[in-house]
Formats: sequence, structure tokens, C-alpha cells
Amino acid sequence: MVVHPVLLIAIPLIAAFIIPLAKKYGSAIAAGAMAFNMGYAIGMFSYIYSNGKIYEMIAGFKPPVGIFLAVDALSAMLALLINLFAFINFIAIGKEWNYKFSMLYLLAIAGSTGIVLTGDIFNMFVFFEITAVASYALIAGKKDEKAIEGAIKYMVLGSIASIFILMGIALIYSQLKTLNIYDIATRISSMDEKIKWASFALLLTGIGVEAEIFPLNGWVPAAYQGASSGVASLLSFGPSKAAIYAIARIMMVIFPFHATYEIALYVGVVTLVIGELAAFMQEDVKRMLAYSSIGQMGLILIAFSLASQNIQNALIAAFFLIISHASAKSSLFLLSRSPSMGGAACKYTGIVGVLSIIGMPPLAGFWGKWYLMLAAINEKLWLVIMLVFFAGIVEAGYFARYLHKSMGNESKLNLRYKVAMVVMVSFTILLGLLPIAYKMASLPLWGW
Amino acid sequence: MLDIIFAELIIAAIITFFVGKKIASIIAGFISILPLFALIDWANNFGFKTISFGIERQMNISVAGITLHLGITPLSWFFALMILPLFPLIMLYSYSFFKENDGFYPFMLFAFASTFGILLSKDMLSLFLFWEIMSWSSFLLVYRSRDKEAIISYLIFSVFSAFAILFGLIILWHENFSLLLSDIGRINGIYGFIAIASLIIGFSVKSVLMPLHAWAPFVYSKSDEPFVAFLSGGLSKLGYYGMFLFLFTLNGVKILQNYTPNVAWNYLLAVVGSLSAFIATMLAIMQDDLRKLLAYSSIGQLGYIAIGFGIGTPLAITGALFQAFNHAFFKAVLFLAAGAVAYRTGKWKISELGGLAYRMPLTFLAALFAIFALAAIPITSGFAAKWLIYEAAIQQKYVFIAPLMLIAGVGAFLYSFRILYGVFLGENRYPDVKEAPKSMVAAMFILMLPLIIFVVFPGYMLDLMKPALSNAGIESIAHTKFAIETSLAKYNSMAVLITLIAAMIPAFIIYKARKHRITSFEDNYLAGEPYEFHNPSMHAAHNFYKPLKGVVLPYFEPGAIYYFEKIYKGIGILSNGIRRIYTGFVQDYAIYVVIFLLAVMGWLIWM
Repeated sequence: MVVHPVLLIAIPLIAAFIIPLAKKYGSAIAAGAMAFNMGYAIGMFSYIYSNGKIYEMIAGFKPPVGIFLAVDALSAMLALLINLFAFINFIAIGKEWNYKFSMLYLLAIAGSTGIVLTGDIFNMFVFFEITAVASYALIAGKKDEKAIEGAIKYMVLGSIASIFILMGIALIYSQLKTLNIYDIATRISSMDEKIKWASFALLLTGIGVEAEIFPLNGWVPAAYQGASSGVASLLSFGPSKAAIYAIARIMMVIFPFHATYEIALYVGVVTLVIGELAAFMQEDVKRMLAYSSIGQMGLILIAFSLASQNIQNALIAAFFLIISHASAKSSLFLLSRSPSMGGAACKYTGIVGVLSIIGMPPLAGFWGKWYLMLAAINEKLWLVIMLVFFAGIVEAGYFARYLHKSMGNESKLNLRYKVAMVVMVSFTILLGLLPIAYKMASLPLWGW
Repeated sequence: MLDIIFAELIIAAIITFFVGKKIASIIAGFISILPLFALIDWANNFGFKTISFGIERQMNISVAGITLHLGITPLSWFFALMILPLFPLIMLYSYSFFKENDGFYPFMLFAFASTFGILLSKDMLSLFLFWEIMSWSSFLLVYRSRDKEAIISYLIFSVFSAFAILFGLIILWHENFSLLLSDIGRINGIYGFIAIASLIIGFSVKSVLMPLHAWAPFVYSKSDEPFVAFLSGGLSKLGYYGMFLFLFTLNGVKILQNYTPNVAWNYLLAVVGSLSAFIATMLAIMQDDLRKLLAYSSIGQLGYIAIGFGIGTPLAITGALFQAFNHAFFKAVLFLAAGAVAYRTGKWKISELGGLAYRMPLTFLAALFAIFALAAIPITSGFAAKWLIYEAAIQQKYVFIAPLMLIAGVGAFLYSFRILYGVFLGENRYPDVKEAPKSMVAAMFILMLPLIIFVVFPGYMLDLMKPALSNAGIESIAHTKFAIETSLAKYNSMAVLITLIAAMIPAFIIYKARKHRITSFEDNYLAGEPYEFHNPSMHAAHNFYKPLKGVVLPYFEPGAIYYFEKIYKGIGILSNGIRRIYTGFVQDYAIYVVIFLLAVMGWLIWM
């Protein structure tokens, strides 16, 4: 059986282009495309689970001239995550299903999936742009003052980021004359020292804006607060995860040097501490969850930055942290639409989501933190461990306050919304109990 | 069979989510008896002849791709002996306590399952995993209380305790990369010290050792009584189980003395324990809220166990374990009694209660026996435990600790008397209340039984402790079934009991034989007192210990809770300061991006 990862990108894109022609059926087309994507992603994931890697060339041109998609365990897991949650999220936010929204949603998903599947760095940039522009419009969807403010902030920073990414790519191309990630990796040592570091800095800064690392995440509180809960949820599992994947891929494949891992570690730790502390005093729920997202992104970056010495533990930690955060934070954002946690569905979602982020077993967040600790102690990184603990305690503080404050009886959510919310948060339970991540982490990663 | 017990606990926990109260309580009640069968069966392995159910001693579970090693050890068997009986009895009690099933049963069953798991853990991951499950399931039970301070403080302290334990465990893992507890070799050097210290701190949060007790007054006073009985009677022992495991079983009794030759870290542990006992007892005397009083009393009584561990001689450790066993039962009975009182009268404050012994005699009787054990009235089992610890302190000539312990003992009697008088004796203000429901009374009485048994057979308790102690290399104290003998003295409870009864018999005969003389109520010479109908101050409920309060209280303010609140506010100030980085102007954010780029480029190129 041959698997074509390109379909995961092509189908949503084609559907997005068709939708303006058939406006009345916009949401149906989008739902259909996403259902296909979800199914295909599951199929691809199980293929990778048993077979390892997939390479696919686009339009028959062999690399390094042609673009190719390289899917390994990390990519497949993220593709599955993004597409699965995209479908569930879309089902939830039925209220916003006008055709424009569906179109933009599909573009954002296609872009995020493209980032995680591609093996060509300029292709990655193209998909970044698609994702970013779609996100700007989606955030502004509510059309009130806060939404537009959030979208504009994101747009300004995102545009600056795009320029930096492009400059980074240009520097690499000017030296190595290739855009293929694998090719770049094999020839990186022939690059001029200073230009190599400059291009890494540019790439890190540019992608980092979207990956919400400090100090590039000024847009995050405003954007998440202004967006509707469904869009905020999308941002949690889609663009930010794709971006952090991109940083990890670039760091591990193209720039696997001690200095880059070190920078990533410091940046990750600072992001974590500042994100969690900023969340501590927040009264507004969405802003609090946004700062918490920043903190979690920092934690994921720490996990990836430990991959230099402890590839096994660090990658498992990163897997679990990504799953836990995507699933928990998305459902918490969906929950934030309701003024209080009334009813069993809301209470269950709130509690499981919070516990997963704090790191309680048998949820996925626990395994993430456990493996992170094992990886960190191997390198005797005492300060990192202490700060992760401190951040965890701060998390417990503000989440306890959040749980207490949102105790209540009303929840104006319809059934579809509640079902989607509950299904999303159940993934942390599921993946905390099934041995999937271990198998995935032991599979070969391309570029190694 | 063991995995079946586990699976049934988890499945029952999930089922009770969905069913109504009656079915849930019946399911929960029967399922929680299952671990007791295992307990009785395992007694065969440790030298006691009982029925055998064929339950295996070890098992491995596979979860998320990792194997958890579970099995019973002598130490965990002893702790299971004190914690597992609480399961079904608390379920029996809660049959009448709750009107509807809104989350109590499922989370209690999770708490039971995870406690069972902690006691069975043979490797670090399963210990930590079950510890965390216990943390969140008890958190969800605290969450039902809807009280802000209780919820926030409990979650923060639980997470802190979890991290401290995790920190200690991963340092130990790093020594030889094995997760099995049995593979932990001699822990030496600075890393070993940090690991042990971190583990002790983590475990002390759960065993409410001062100054990490700050969550207890809030949580104990606002949560449901059956849960608090389990939290205080059962879960707090798990902290001491962990401490004993890492200090003595895995490393030998001298571990705390090994790190630096001139600093006696074990003495520090004993001092902290004695201060905990002393300060908490003093604070308990001042309390008006019955539940807060019992909370501080718990903190105080559990401090004795730390004293025992700190002193470290076989005498002390035996006494500490005995005290742990007693505490489980008498504290559970007291919290259940407080719950029964509140169930019938709706009141928490001692100043508003009174005279309930006339209407709730059985509750009063259970509480009375529990208080005898708490206050270490001679010939009760509580006395045997505390006497052993006193003896140990005196033997080691600890001049600071022994007096503090003794004053705390007197203080325990003071607040015990306040409970008895303020709640049960005195003026009868509630002439209409009925006795507590039968299931509650039954639960309290059954829990009281061990306290009575060990009145007469303190030596039997030492037999029960023997497997645990010898596994840790601690020799047993000379004892027979009825008597304990130390190098300083000999305590024979049977002799004392017989003497007491022998002295009571003539008194009783005289009382019955002679004619009674009626005297005036106000005759002071014959233990009468002035009687005023309309002056409520005669009930002496408010400000009961006012003179003591005036003298002592200024020295105890501010306490640990004040400092923790300061830390909380400090983090809030830090948080507010950090939020200012996010100025709200996108121009600032853009500058941040450029600064970051330049900084990273500069770092990489010039380093």
C-alpha cells in the first residue's frame, strides 16, 4: 500500500479553493475535507507505526531540485494530532460556519500540516505564510475591538518573522545552493561559520514568533483573548505546534550543535518561567490560558533541547508534552466559552485538562514531565529542574484558583460542543495509558 | 488474584461515577473490603498463621509501555495493616452521611486504589505514579468543599510534595539507572544527602510535619468528614511510610548520621518533630472550631512519629510505629464522631455545642475511647506508644526534646478535655437530637476496637511490627504479650489493668451497698458547683482556655501560614511585574523581536 502524504495538504487546499464557488455548501465541503484528512492521517500514522518512514517526491522531480515530503514518526504524530483535532474542533464550533470561516480554517490546517510534512525549507516557509495569514483572519473573525487588536499585533510580528525566516533561508541558499533540508544537513559543515550562526538566529527568531517563545510572544495574550474560543483552540493545536516542530526539526537536523541546543534550552527555560509567572495573577480566563500556553511551549522547547544527549527520553518527553498540551489546552479554550463549569461535561473537561497540564498520572502530561526529568538529570541540569518544579507549583496555584472560581451551574454550550470538548480532552487519558509514544520514539527519524 | 483486586477497585471507581447513591455506596463498601483479604493472606508470609486465599505476593502491570513492579514487603504490610481497615469502615460510615452521590464514591475509590498501589510499589516509577494519583484523587475530594483556601493550598502543597519526592527519586535513579527500589545502594555523598533531604521534605508535606502543615487546618476543616478521616488517619501515614522506607529500610538506621560526622541530622528531624508536636498542640488548645482543633491535634500527634524516627534507637522507632498505628484509628474515630455531631446538629463550633453525651451516648463512647488513646491516658494503647518514645528520649538524654514532648502531652489532654466537655458534657443544648445513624455508629465502634485490644496486648503490637523492623535491621524490644520491657523500666499493661479493676471492685461494692445520701447541688465539699439557670457562661464554652491563650498566643503569631501567604503574595507581585513586559504596544513587541535576534546572533557568533 502506497501512502501519499501530499494528499493531506492537497485536499484541504483544493477544498478551500472550491468553497467560494459553492458558498452555500461551504461548511459541508470543509467538514468533508477534514474528515478525509483525519482518516488519511490516521492511516498514515498506522503505516508509519509499522513501517518507519515515508518519502515522497512532488511532481516527479528528484531532490535536491524537487520538493519532497519526508514523514517520520514525529511528523506523522503531529500531522495526526493537527488533523484529528481540526476535525473535532470544527464540529464543535458550528456557530461560526459561514463559508469564509470554513475556507480560512482549511487553509490554516493545510498550512500547519504542510509545515510538519515537508522536507524542503522554502516549502516550509510557504506553508508558514499560508498558516499565518489564515490565522490573522481567523483571529479577527469576531470583528470586535479586541479581536482586531489581537489580529493586528499578530500580523505585525508575523510579518517581521516572515522577513527573518526568508533572510535565514536566503543565507543558507547563498552558501549551499540547495533548499532541501536533508541536503543542507549533510553539507552544513561547508558553510561559513558566521553565516551559519546568523541563519540559525534568523530562523529561530522568525519561527519562534509563531512558536510563542519568549520574547517573541507579545502577540499571544492579545490574540488568544480576542479570538473566539474555537479559533483559540485551533491556535493551540495547529500553528504553534507546527512551529515548534519546525524549530525542533531545524535544530536537530540542520544545526545539531552544542551551541544551538544550549540556546534553545535557555530560551525554553526563560519562556517557561515567564509564561507561568505571568499567568499567575490573571483574572481573565483566556488571557490566563494564553500565558499558560506560552509556558508549555517553553517546556516543549526544553524537551527538544535535551535531545542532544538523551535522544530517547527527550523525544518521548516532547511527544507526551505536545499531546498533553494540545489536547488539554484546546479543550480548556473551548471550555472558556462557558461562563462557569456547570454540568458533568464541563467539570470533567476542566479538571482533566488542568490535571494534565500540571502533570498528574495517568495523563499524558505526567509522562512528559517524568521523561523530561530523567533526561535533565542525566546532564545534571539542576537549575533547569528547579525552575521546572517552580513553574509547576505556580501552575498549581493559578489553576487551583481557576478551578475554584469557575465552579458554577450554568453552561450555555450545546451538545455538539460538549461532545467535542470531552473527546478532545480524552486524548490525554488515552495516550497516557497506551504505549504508542514509546514505539514512536524508537522509530528512526529522518535526517539521522 | 492481586491484579483482579486492583482492576476491581478501578472499575468500581469508574462505575460509581454513573450510579445513584445507594448502589454506589454498596459497590464501594464491598469492593473496599477486598484489599483486606489480601492483607490477611499475606500475614502468612510474615509468620502469622491465618487463612490463605492464594493471593500472590508480587505482580507486574504494564502501562503505557512501562512495567510497574508491585509486591508486598514487610514494611508495607505493617502500614497496610493500619490503613486498609479504614477503607470499608469509612464506606460504611458514608452510607448514612451523604444524601446523594456527587463524586464522593468514585474519587474515594481512586484514593483507596492508589493508596494500595503506593503500599505495593517496588519501583520508583510506580511509587511516584500512585503517589500522584493519590494526590489528585484526594484533591478532587477537597475540591468538593468549594472552599478557596482549602483548594488552592492543597493543590499547591500536593504539587510541591510531588516534585520534592520526584527530585529525590531521580537523583537516586541517576546513581545506577535502575528504577527498582531494591537496587538503591548505599546513598553517599552530597547527592545522596540532597536526595534524602528532598524525599523527607516531600513526604513531610503529606504527614503534616511543621512547617509544611499549612494546608491542613484549611483542608481538614472544610472537607467532608469521612474523607478527612481517611486523609488524616490513612494518607498521612503514607508520608511516614515513605520516610521509613528511604531512611531505614533501604539505608539502615544510621543514615542520617552518615553524611557529616559532626552534624547530627537525625537530631534535627527529632527537634522538628518535637516543635511540631508542641506548637500544634498549643494551637489546638485555642481553637473553637472542632474540625480545626482536630486538625492541629493531628499535626501534633503525628509529630511524635517524627521524633521517634529522629531519635533512631530501636525503642524510639518501635514507639513511633506504634504511635502511627494508634493515630490512624483514634483520629479516624474522632473525625467521624465530629462528622456525626455535625450531621445531627449542623454545628461546628464547640462554643455552640454541648451536652450531646445524653442524646448521643454511643458516639460519645467512641469519642471517649479515642480521646483516651490520643491523650495517652495510662493503660490505653496510646500510652504504650508515647511511653516508648519518652523512654527513648530520656535514654538518649535529649534535654530539649523530652520536655517539649511532655508539655505537648499535657496539652493534648487539655484540648481533649475541651472536646469532651464542650461537645459532649455540660449543659444539654440540643435536647432533640437523635443518636447518629446506625451505620455511622457501627463504623466508629469497629474502628475503636484496635485501640481497646492493644490496651491489653501491647506486646502483640510489637509482634506485628517485627517483620517490618527486622527487615530494616532494627532489633525488637524485649516484650511478652502483656508487657514491654526496656532498659529503664517495665510496663505491664495487664498488671495495671488488673490492679485498676481490683481497686474498682471494692469501690463499686461499697457504692451499691450503702444507702445514698442526697446533698445540695451547691455543696462544694462533695464536688458540687453553683448552679445558675440563665447564665450561659457557666457552660464555659467560650474562651475556655483564656488565661493560657493570653500568655501563649502572642508567641505563636505569626505562624507558618502567615509566611506561606506572604510567599504566595510575593509570587503575585513578581507575576504582576512580569506582566509589565507585555506592554500592549506592538511596537514594543517588535523591538523585543529585534533585540532577541541580535542577542542570539551575537551569542552564537562571538562565543
